[in-house]
Amino acid sequence: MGMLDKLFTRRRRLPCFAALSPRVRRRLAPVCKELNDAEQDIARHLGLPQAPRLLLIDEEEAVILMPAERGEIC
Amino acid sequence: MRHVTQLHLDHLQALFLNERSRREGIRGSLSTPVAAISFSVFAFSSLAVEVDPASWPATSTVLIFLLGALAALALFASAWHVLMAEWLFVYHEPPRLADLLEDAPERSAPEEEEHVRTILAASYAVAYEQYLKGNAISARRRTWALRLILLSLLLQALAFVVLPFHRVGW
Repeated sequence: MGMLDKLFTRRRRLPCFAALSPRVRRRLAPVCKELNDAEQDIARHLGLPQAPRLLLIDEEEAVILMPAERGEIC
Repeated sequence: MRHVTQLHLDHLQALFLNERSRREGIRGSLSTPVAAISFSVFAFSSLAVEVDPASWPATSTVLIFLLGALAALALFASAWHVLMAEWLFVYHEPPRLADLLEDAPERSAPEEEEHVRTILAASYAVAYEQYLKGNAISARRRTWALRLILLSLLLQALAFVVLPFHRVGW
């Protein structure tokens, strides 16, 4: 019963940024760069003191990329 | 800093939400070419059973093989477009509250409200444009997948039209 409980009710953990393989990082690099550029462009256009920091979610790996992590990939 | 009104924010938020749900709509509509692909594969098996390769190089046999080869090419190209419509599927979401509040200098309430409104409007604008680009690509791929699988089915239909002539040895 304990095993079944563990199997069905234990919350799955999303993979974290550190666990991403170099191959996945390479795949995501153009997307991250495009998003970073778009954020910088709109910040310049609106005269914002800092660019907006969107979240990027990769569906294939089910990983949520924070803005700082995106910067590491680019 | 440019002034962003509530109307700007509402407008961009509506665009963002619409484009996000359109993305799911495009994904859902991919089931049409996928269903047609599976039907097309089934039709291929029926055609393969009916054709007698021993009658090569009778005109009807050559014609059926040619139509079948073209139909197979169109089918694989369609499947490729379905795959590419889902390729590099990423979501763009507005900033977390922690990111909105980070490094915020002391501001009065109206200034803070204007700052957050502007940041949110900028975020929705960026996310909307990213979704728009992704959706344009996915919708194009979906359309081509549908066109190619229709072409494949039409070519197979032509092959089936030739089949009675093939049976009598033309």
